[in-house]
Amino acid sequence: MSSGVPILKVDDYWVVAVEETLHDQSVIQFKEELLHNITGVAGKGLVIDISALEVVDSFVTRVLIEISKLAGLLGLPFVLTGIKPAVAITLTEMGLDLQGMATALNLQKGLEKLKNLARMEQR
Amino acid sequence: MNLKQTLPITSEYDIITARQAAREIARQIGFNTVDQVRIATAVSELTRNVVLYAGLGKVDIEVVTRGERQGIEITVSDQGPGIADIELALSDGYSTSNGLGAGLSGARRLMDTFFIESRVGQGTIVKVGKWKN
Amino acid sequence: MGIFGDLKPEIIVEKAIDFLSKEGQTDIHFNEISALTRDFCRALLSDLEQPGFVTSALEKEIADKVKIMFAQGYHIEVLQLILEKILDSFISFIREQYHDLQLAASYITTVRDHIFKGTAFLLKMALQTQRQVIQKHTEALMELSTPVIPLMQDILLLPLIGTIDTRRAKEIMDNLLEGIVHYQAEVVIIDISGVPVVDTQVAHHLIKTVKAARLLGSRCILVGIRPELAQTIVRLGIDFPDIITKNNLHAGLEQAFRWLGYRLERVGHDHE
Repeated sequence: MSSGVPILKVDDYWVVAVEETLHDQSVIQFKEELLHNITGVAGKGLVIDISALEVVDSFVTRVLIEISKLAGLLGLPFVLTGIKPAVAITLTEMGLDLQGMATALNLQKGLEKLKNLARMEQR
Repeated sequence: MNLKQTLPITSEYDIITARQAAREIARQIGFNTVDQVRIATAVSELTRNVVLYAGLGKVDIEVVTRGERQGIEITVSDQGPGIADIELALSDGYSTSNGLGAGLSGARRLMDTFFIESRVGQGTIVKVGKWKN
Repeated sequence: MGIFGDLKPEIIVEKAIDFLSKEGQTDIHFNEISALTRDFCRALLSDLEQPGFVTSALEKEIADKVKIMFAQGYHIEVLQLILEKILDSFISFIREQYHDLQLAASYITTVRDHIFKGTAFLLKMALQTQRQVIQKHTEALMELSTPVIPLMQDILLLPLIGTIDTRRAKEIMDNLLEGIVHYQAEVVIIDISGVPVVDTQVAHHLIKTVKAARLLGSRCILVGIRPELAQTIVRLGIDFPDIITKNNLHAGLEQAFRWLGYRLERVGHDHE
């Protein structure tokens, strides 16, 4: 069974837009699929957009942190985009900071951030 | 409006059903978006604990009035193994299920009132509430 | 038929207005005072005509007038004065008309009780209306006092002015985060030079706001920190690398420009 979350590759960048609320099993399924993809095919970076998520709890946060750490181990720059204001407030109040994860306002700005990073590394 | 709703928790699918129900009731009685998300997130944390530790349980969502103030009260209960050391379970970063340990303490921070009662071998009841400004 | 039979209100009204004219200046035009007096008198007489002790007509009139007076920004005290003078006018009228002292005394008592009940009701209405007005002002002030200003592409300015309590701090956070998403702003400059006291709670709220903004993908620059606040932050033991602080708005803007890759340059001088 697939998680149903589309994992796309755009210009050497992995782009994921989580479009609907996922139950726990799908979240784990998605993580596995993503890891399979990014370890199998080289990429310059990864953007995950969660602007469609109205609620982000500690479980989803934990999975996002895991993805971030694994991307780090693979040397794959990662940006999380589209966190809603209410979600940001809730996470902050729960004491869940995203452990220094890079964030951006939207997918496009996230991709720009990754491209800037790549440019800086080339110098 | 349905002022009281009881939902069973039998699997992880019920986590989403429960938090959506709580959010909808919160919206109907006029909580703002941020409070709706706080309430939904707290329900998500508490019901997931039931799924993770007890397997079965239920959640009661109720609209309550105190004087002129209106609020929402959510009771999550199970007949699972119970919590031996509540203080420890409430402390930040504590987790027995490899989580972030933010479940109980997170729910407590998001809500105005928090009450927990647990007996080892008998189960756990967590009651949380939020009042409108 | 009430105790005063077919008494014409004009008689009472005229005398009351005469009394009122001897009072000091009020902020309301005398024609209006006369009109108010007339309305109150009519209502009172209609109550007095009812069997038993009834003040419903007078109270309805008072409720209407309080609303109007508040809406027009007048002081409520004049209404109380009018009631007082209507009572005086009645007393004077009764003393002239009824020579049976006991009867006169009982009439005066009746009218006085009506006026007293009316005055009590007026006070209640005034307080209630005032509470509503304060509530409305507080809400308006709340909106006014947390402006999120789009300074230019990608930069928001949040000038904080006045005392910040927990409730306002929450408003500020909500407004700012909504503003960041609305304008898709990458940098927020928070100017707190206009906040007189920043206690630990406010400091915590500020930090929470900055953290939440960071999650959205926006960076905050805190400017206008006074020495006292610097001490609060040190005392709290807050070590927070995401909070960039600058002396003043100018330095904050320069930092924002650096992040965004802007350069401000004078290309000429328009002497017009």
